[in-house]
Amino acid sequence: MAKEKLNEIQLAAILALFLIALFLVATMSLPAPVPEKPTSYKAGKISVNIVNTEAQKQTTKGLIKVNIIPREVKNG
Amino acid sequence: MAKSKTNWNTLIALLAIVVIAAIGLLTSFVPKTSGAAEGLVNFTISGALSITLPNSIVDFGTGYVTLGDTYAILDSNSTSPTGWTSTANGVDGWPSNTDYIVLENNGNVNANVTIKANKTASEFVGGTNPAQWYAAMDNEAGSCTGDLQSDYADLTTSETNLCSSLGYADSADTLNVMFKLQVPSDASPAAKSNTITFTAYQV
Repeated sequence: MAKEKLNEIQLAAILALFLIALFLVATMSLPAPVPEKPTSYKAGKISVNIVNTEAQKQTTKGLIKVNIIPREVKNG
Repeated sequence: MAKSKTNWNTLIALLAIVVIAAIGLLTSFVPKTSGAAEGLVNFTISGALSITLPNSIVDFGTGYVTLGDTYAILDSNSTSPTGWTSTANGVDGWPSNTDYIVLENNGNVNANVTIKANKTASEFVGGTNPAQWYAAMDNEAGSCTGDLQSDYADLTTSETNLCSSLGYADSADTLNVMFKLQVPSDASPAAKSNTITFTAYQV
């Protein structure tokens, strides 16, 4: 009976030590996460819709000027 | 002895479970090395019809019909008026320099541009047989890709064609508009002006 209890204690101890060792290995030796690097691509799509929402007609004004003076004045 | 063997079997089973769980835990940290994405960018540009006049005046200055001539011809595209004695240049230097109304399409659609005057030649210049004409040419090469009125045509109070398709690219969107007047010798002396209206329609 003492031998069997000793085996159960040994069993629990071995299991505990294994779990501790596994935890240490898992937390200390895991590589740091690296950014995702896509290695394959699919085409995206850019679309544009040009619409006319402004006035369809516009006016602007210029000017022609001339100053006509009497000939008599210049030719005395 | 049988109990001890049972314990060892239990130990082995537990270890197997722990190992499998550990493998699962470790593989969950392995970074992904491939991926793909697909997206859609959508936007709208509104079209704007707009013309402007960087130079809005043709000024023939001051002068008179030379004595002995029945009329004078004043051409803003020429520095050699006929039958005209100039006593003062216009604001842009005519007749020493040519002078144009400069019309630019500063919108983002092609424009069909027309021209009209608010006065007839008789109302503007007066006298016997006055006349007024207009024409246009590219200020920037390739500006007018449609029907360009490149030869002098009568300038009337009704809309007539100037350029049926004026482009909007910054490097090719500007016209020079020139004018020619026939001033009779009996035109009354005065400072005279005629307003010119340019109208743009979307092509």
